[in-house]
Amino acid sequence: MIDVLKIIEFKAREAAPIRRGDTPFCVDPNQKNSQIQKLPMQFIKKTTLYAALLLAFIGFGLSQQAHAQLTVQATGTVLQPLQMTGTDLNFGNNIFPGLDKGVDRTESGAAQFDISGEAGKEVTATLTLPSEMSDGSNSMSITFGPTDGGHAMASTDQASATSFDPNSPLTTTLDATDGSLHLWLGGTVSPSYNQPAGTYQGDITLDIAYTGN
Amino acid sequence: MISDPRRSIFTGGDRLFIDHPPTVNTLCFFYQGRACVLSIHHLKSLFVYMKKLFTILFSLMLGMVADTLAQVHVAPPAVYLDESRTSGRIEVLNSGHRPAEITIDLGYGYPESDSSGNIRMKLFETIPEDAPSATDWIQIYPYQFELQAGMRQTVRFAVFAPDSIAPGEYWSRPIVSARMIPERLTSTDDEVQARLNIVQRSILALNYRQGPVHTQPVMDSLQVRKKSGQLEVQTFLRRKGNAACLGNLKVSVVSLRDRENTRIKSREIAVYRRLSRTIRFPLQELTPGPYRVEVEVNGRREGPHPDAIIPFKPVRRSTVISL
Repeated sequence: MIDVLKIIEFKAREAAPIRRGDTPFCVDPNQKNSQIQKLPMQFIKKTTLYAALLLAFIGFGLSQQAHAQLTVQATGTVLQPLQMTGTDLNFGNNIFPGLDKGVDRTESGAAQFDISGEAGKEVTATLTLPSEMSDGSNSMSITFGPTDGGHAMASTDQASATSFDPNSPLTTTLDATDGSLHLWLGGTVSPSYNQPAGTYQGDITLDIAYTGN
Repeated sequence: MISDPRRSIFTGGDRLFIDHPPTVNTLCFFYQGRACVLSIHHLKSLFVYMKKLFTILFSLMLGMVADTLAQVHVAPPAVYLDESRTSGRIEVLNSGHRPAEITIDLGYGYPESDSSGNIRMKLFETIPEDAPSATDWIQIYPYQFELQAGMRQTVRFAVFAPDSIAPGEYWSRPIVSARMIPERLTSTDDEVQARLNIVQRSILALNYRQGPVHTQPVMDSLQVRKKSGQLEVQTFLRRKGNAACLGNLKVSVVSLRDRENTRIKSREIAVYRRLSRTIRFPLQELTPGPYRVEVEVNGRREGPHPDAIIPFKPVRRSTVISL
């Protein structure tokens, strides 16, 4: 990295100008016989990479701060907020007619539900799952097995989440410290051998309620 | 002084002299003891490279979290109204980065348990005629709206109860559905794509009280058993009076040899009709010997506001077991 950026004096003389396409160059001012050396492009690119990463992290941090500010505002003005975040169950686009395609609850395409409420309180979570998906004209079958659901207190525990049957209600307690609960859901689509090409969609409904109300 | 006839660069000490027309801009700096020169042309291409890199990196980071930024808050989870306070409100906040479609419906239901004491929220598709339902008397405004990212909306409930209804508590379950407006999927003509969108529903409680209300839980029976490495304490409760019983179920497993070896668990309960609750204790935490299992239902809980809990006389039952 650059240790210091010094202001260099220069003055114009009637001499050969630096032209477009000229390679950046360096000279050692302390060496009498210093050869013209190409400025290492690795240095330039490394510098710009560091700068870009720094800007990216700053931008990301600002967006998260705004998110956190909204969260703080919500908890400052209401009591016992019940909140949910969700990501869709995505099977992607490499679905082949006639071949079942599954998404495991531990995979990145699994649906994820992040629930937050009053710490230590018990909630019941009920999933309403579709039996088919549609592109508006055609349908495709989808199933959910008894181990396609998983739940854990920490969002980082997707791989080790406790299994549950998503076809039955889940009753559990929110984390005793921060009131969080995380659910994951996988599933399997079963396209027919002559399944028409298209974008198939459906809805998963998650009902959340405190059991003590 | 060192000169280079090709570049016309003259250096002396810590100064670098560059021969060039004044219209050519340069960036000059020292790097590892060497004087370096970048012309404006290099700077422009460097800027484009940096811009591309930044865009890619930031998009990657935003993409990693974009789907998790769809977040809907609903508060409070329960509203209690009466003759002197016939309107209430909830707040719905979209703290995510995508707009959401919000719909509020009114259902009827209450917590129900199965034979094993597991709880679920029972919502009736068809409300029984003799049910103490308040759904027909409640107006909601607004009941359907699009909530932009970062915005909040107040939803008001107004109860217009008939004058002829008997004193008591009448129930309703506002259901706040939030559906993030999905991003469009793109596919080619020969691809099959599939995605399930999430609809999140927060089921609240809205109880309206007309006239004097009273409630009292009754503990019909208590069962204690060992199952799958756990000590299960199952309580069978029913409710008397004209209002739901909101209370606290406390189960204590007390060693008769060592009083300090006590395990206590509590759960907030809502007994609308009948309720069976099972509290489990790992057997590995209980040393063999005699124990007294004590169960108490009391009204000591922190409600959304003081008027929510209708006072009642605590009920207790205990039994002695041997592990």
